Amino acid sequence: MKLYTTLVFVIVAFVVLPINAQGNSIEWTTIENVEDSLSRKRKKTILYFYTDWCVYCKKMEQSAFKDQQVIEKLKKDYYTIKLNAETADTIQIGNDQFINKNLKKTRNPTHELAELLGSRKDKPFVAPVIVLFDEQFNVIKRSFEYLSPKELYQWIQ
Amino acid sequence: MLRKLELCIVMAFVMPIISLAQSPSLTIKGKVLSDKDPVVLATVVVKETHTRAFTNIDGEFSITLDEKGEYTLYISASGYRNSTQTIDVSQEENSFEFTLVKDALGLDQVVVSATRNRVERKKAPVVISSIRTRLLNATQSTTLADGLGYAPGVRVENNCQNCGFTQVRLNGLQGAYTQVLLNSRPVFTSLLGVYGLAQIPVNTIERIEVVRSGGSALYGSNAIAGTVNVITKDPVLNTWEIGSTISSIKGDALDRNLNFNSSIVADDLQTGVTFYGSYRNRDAYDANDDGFTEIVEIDNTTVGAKAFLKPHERSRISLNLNAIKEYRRGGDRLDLAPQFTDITEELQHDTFIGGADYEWESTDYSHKLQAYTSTSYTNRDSYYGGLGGSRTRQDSLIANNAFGTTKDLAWVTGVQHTKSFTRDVITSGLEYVTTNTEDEIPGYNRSIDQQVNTIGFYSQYEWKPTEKVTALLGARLDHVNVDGKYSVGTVLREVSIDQTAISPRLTMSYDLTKQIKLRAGYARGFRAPQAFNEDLHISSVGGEQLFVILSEDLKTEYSNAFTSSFNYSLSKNLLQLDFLVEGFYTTIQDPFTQVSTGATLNNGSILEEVRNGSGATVFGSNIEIGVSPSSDWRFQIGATYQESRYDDEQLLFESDGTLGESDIFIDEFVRNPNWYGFLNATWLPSEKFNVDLTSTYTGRMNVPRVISDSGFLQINRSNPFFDMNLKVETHFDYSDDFMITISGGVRNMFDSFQDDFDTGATRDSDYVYGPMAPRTVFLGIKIGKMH
Repeated sequence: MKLYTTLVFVIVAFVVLPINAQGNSIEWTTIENVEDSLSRKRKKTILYFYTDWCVYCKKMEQSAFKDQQVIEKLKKDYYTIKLNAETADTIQIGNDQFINKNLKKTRNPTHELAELLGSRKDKPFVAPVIVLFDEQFNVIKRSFEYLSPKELYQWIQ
Repeated sequence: MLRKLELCIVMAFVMPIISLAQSPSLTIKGKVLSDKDPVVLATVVVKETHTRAFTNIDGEFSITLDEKGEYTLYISASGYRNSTQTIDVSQEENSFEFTLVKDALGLDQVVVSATRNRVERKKAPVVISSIRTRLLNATQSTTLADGLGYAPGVRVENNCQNCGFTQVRLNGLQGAYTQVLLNSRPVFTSLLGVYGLAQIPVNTIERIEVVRSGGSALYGSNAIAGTVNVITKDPVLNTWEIGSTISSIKGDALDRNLNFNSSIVADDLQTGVTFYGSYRNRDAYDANDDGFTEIVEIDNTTVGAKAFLKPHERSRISLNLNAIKEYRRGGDRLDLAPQFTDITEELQHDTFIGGADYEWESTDYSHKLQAYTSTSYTNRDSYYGGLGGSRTRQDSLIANNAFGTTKDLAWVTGVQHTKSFTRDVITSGLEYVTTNTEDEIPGYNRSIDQQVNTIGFYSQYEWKPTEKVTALLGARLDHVNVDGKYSVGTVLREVSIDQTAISPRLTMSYDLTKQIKLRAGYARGFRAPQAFNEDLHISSVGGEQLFVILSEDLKTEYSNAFTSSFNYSLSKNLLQLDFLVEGFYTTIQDPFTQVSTGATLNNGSILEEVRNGSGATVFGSNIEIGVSPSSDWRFQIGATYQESRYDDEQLLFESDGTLGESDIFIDEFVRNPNWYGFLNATWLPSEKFNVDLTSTYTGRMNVPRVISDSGFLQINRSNPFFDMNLKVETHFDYSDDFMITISGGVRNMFDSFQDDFDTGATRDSDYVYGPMAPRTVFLGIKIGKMH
């Protein structure tokens, strides 16, 4: 009996908990698509690098990137690109190709694009990294750490 | 001016690259082309100011500078030869055009920082073995005791059939020589140490850090053999998990386990809480069908919570509360009230552990301050007794009075300050520990009333004179005050000491090459006379109880520990290899030894006295090899060879003159195999499926066994054991919010288990050695949002 009531309590308390109201979500696209879109309509761009094992990335995907205000602002003013920093794909921008040179060389092979855009002096690439480009695709600013919904919203103003 | 490249200067305006706005005094605008086409995302770095910019989709970039003059620009882009240009910035606005040549031979690399080094190199100057959640999971460990045996130099054993008292032995030394810490706090009192290892559920543990040998100058001098630091989980994501496992011990006894844990962390990561709970119900198991248990019945419910709050970026307050309620019973006829059985050890523990921590770091992160307070309170009801095989009135009277109560309170509080210089670090702290133990069994006139107060001050300097050398110099000054009254039967002892001792420690590590690290160290430790965990445990032998008491004039025990090690780590492409050889040598002066004085108590019970032995030396070597050819495969093997010797022959049993019995002497420690080790193999082809093979090897050892009413001993040589576990696990992600993990397998698949247990009501219940359970088949399921 005691076991049963404990079980019921546990299920009611903890299963009910994480049900999110879905609402809108960010429409992530690829770099190639953005290149194409930029020729028709110029908007700012957000490039978000993540890795499968990055806990803070998951936290951002569950909070900052699900925040309604953030989603609306991004939808209106930005192209949103989500890129796995360890992808094996070859990415083409303009006439240039970017590949993953580390593929067979290390356990967590960082793609060239992530190394390029996500490194700082004397610091290796660590996700989450968000790069903000203006309408001309100039790099305006970069974020190298976890951002809460509020912080992200301020950052994209 | 330049070599093969064309250079063209064009005027432009500036845009800041870093987000903070600055009022620009000079701007450089430029364009990078190749064959007249713009080069996208080329990197332009100004050598003198380290400013970096990227070219946009039109190949354009801009950089801000403070002064006029000559600057060197490094321009690089994927697929192109790097280019270095010197430019003269003399006007308000400067504009340049650069051309790059394609890199057909791949001779130049894109200029970026080093990629992350994923090798788990142990950078610490001391060897730390980490047992992570992954390994605890792979070994199907339910409690801390289950998971500890898989680190080099560590052995965990069950030492009592009636109560399941577990001990961890580090580098050959008994349980009391190891300091068990909970989140770096010494709240594991002696009493908690008797059963506590088997009470901490695994689902709260993030990792266990074992530091072997040396008596840490930071954690207290009782850590002569080393420290086992249990670090509990610190959450980031919102998760919840409910799991259940059923195990069947030889198809005879069931072990049911239900646990849950859940974490909630605010979106801004400033506050968070983790709740956890576990329920365990294990049937007793009788290995040899004599009607007496070899594995005790356990009913354990544990709940707890850990919360944190970050009032600002560099400070953190954390609070943790845990409650453990456990019932265990061993002996015979478990369904009867204890006084009607032949042997019963019945314990009801009610433990509460709570603590609060505060951490603060200065703005430049060079100062760190920690203040903490922690308390543990255990209320224990016990029954150690029984009719012992006979049915006289006297026996019945004694059996009815074998109930006891124990209250044990420990409180730790302290502050620690760390100052980090460019390379060196100084850590200092002050700690006050007070423990109060009251154990009464009126029926045996057995009582322990002990207060131990320790105030300690420690300081450690981590010195890095060069990149390759690190030295740790530290010392701890302790003032210990022990006040204890111990009695059993008509024997009454008192201890009242006030002692100050310094425990210095020195460790050095040297990076011979990038892959090879050499370490060596020395540490001194001491243990003031007091009742330690084995002393608080009462065994049942020959139908009588066996008590432990401290002798008169017990002196403090001192130890000197030397260690040295060679560590080779290699990370080449996907392969990771780690090789460690370690030697240890510890001498103990006036070691506490238990000498059996025979059945000297007037009710026929056996009395063991804790006396100072003549001196002992424990030395040996650990070897550990870890290989992971790719992330799918992991192998780990560890072996220890050790010898533990008394300088002079050590008395184990003192004869009272009975015919056929004489004093028994030993020259090496009992229950210490010369060889032991572990072997683990994991196959992780994907997130969805994995297979784990884990095993421990225990070599032959000498185990004493009581063979007569007088407590006379026989030293038996045990057989070696090879305890191997196999676990298969599969994981489904039903959605982002719901996942299931199903696992199954067998523990101790070769059924390598003691086969010569003593039988019946007059058995020696301490005659237990080797693996903690025979072949056990298990099945488990976990549901929740785990990641």
